[in-house]
Order: sequence, then structure tokens, then C-alpha cells
Amino acid sequence: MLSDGTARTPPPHRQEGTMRTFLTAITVLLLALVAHAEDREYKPRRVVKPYPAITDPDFLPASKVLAEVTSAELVLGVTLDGKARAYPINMLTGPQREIINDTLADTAIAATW
Amino acid sequence: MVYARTVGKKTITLRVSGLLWNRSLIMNDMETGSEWSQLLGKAMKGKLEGAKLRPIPAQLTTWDDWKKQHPDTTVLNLPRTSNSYGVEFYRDRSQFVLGLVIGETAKAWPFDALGRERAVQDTLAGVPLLVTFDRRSTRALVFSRVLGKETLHFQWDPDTGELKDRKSKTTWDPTSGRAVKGPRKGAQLEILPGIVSHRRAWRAFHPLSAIMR
Repeated sequence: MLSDGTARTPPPHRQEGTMRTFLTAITVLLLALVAHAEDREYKPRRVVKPYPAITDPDFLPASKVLAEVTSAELVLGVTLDGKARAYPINMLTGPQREIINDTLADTAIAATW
Repeated sequence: MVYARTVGKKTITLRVSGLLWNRSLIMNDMETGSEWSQLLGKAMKGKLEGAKLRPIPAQLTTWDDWKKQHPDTTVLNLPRTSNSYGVEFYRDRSQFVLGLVIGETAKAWPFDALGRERAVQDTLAGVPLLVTFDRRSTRALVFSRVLGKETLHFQWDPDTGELKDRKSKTTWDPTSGRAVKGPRKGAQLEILPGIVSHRRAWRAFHPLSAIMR
């Protein structure tokens, strides 16, 4: 059988602290909800000016890629309607390269890192 | 991650905004200037606020592995911006996860746990899942285990080491989610848009996410 991916939790204590446990659980839940709300508040920070959008970049067929990309390098790979395309991560760092506007199998896509 | 750029009838062009939110990339669309969270795939501010980008399942894997899967692939051709993103990037596997969001529920499977198990059956928001991991390429994928009206249950064949579904004993390829041998040969599991992320970043965006131990 395959491993079951459920998170394992330790068995609950069942001593005189039942009420305490209950109150602790409620407090933790409330804090988690507050943290959730705070983390989800949209407060971006500007670090740099915007970069121009990258559109219609150049591509090569696999057969023409020799030394440019080595075997253990990471790529972001996508297939759509039988067409496959790879975006080597070492071309997507920057931050100026983090978004590539592209079209694959007639579908407008954005490859992002 | 990869997204479709067409929202309703409108196709947008995205750029790096220069803004970060929780240390994560915010994008602008050139058409309206709205601000989009890369990790959430959602417009956070501006004319298109609330709009969502459709995620397209993509893989993070090695060039060697991708080329074997798709010999006729094309490859982006831009000058390098770095040299450090090889498989060693994931050396500390406990710090990286494959994450998935279904509706409002999120779960993540850390690479170290996936590396131990190679394939994990799970359920998220009622959807039965199969998460697979290739140790050499660090390729992590998640599929739905629903095929037609059935939910498949998988096991490793103790003799051959192949991944099989319990009922029909069909052999499945964990890379493609396709049945390669047996009664269901040719069937295809639906691949879901899992996201590879730093564990910390995943937690920041999905603080209530379950994480596999």
C-alpha cells in the first residue's frame, strides 16, 4: 500500500487540564485566524522599478540546445495540446526575467519563476 | 508556475512590477496596471482586482529528464542570468514542498517526505490525489486519482517495483500519469496544477495549509 499523506498528530492528553486544553485550542485557533487575516492583507513593498514585459522571446528546438543548458539544470516544463516547451530556470532569474509572456499551442501563457 | 494569460475575453501581458508581497513576486498587467500575486494567481489591486489566472500544470525538473519525456520540446533561448539552479538547489529537501490549492483548502508535501515514499495517496477537499516524486530530477507531480466514475487505489508491485492500481493491476507511469501496461492501458490521470515552493513561502501564503509529515 502507498503511504497515506495525512498529517499525524500526537494523542490528546486526558488529564485534569481538559478545560485548559479546550481554552488553549480556542486561543490557538483565534490566533491562527488573526494571523491568516493579517498575512492575507495586501500590503506590497516596492523594492525596485518595474521591468519591461518580456514578450515573444526566442526559442530553439531541443536538437539545437548543446552547451547552453546542461543535464542537471532545472527547467520549468509545460505541455499544451501536444506541444512541449522548457524554460531553463537559469534564464528566469533576475528579477527582470521572472515572467515570460509566451504562446504555446495557440494559448497565451505566462511562465513565471 | 505557468498561467494562461487570457482572463474572460481579455488577453493580458504581464511584467515584473518591482513590488514584493510577503517576499513574493507581484506582477502588473500592461493593459490595466492591476497588481497580481504570482503565488496566488489572483489580481490583488486595480481594475481587475479579484480576477484569477487559470493555472496550467507545469513541471520543475532537470533538462535531462524533460528532454527524455519530450524529445521534440522547444527551449527558451535567452542569455543566462545565473548558474546556480541545478538539482543541488534542492539539496535540503525539507525546505521545499509541492503545494496544491483546491478551492479554499491547501496542502503541501515536502520533498524529503516525498523522496522517502516516491508516491503518496492523499485526499484534498474531497479530491483523491496521487503525488509522485522522482529522486534524481526532483520532479514532483500531483494527479487526480479519479478515472471516469472510479477512484483508483495504487500500490507498488513488490516484485517488479512498478506502480499499479489495485483493482485492475494496470501499470502506471508516475511521470506522465498514463497507464502503460494492462487492462487500462492508454488511460490518463488528470494532472493538477501543483506548485513547487519554498516551505516558508508556502506557509506565508497558506497559513492554514496542511503539510504532510
